[in-house]
Amino acid sequence: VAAILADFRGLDTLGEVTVVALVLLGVATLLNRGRLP
Amino acid sequence: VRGPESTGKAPEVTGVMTRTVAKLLFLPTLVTAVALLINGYAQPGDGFSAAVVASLGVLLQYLAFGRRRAERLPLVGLAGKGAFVGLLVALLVAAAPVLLGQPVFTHYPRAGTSAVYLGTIELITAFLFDAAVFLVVLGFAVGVVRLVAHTIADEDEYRGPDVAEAGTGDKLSTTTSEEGR
Repeated sequence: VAAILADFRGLDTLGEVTVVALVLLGVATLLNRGRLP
Repeated sequence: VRGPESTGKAPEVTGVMTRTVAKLLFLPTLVTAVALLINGYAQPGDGFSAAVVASLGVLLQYLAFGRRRAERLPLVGLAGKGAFVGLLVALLVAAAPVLLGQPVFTHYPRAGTSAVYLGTIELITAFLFDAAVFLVVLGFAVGVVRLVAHTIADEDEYRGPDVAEAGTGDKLSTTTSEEGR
């Protein structure tokens, strides 16, 4: 059970980290007046 | 610190005291962050909280010294790219076992077998993943603070030098302190 929990935690963290990186891309584009940096 | 900083009116916010404290706190903050990252599997701490602590240290430098001096710190300019390098490492750690016919997030060396030790640090792929999370979160926080500071500076330069002189300090501190909330 502990191993399965740890695996789900890893997947959850991976998704969260992806979202954070995409938000950084979004903020950068927004502050750059719609152009990709 | 909160009160005068959030109104942005008091000139002593960026005074000698603030600058001294910011300078004194910077290295201890980074050391605390590294300790949180390394302790991750035996004691409280992980990549995420370590990155939050480290980015607070960098944010303090921006608040106390302003954009130009804070960006003289090494690697601050690379923060945004570091976030995406971290994301790539995290995805590789997750996906690499699939190529070997194992489920996603199979960590090596397996439980029960012996790991390589570097001092007291156990070198396992789970630690690599945590370090990648650290990179992403630190890159995000520092990158956003840097981008906002650049945008404010650009607007001030557009409006004229006299307004820039009066406006940069307190506008930077209000915006970045909202960022840290």
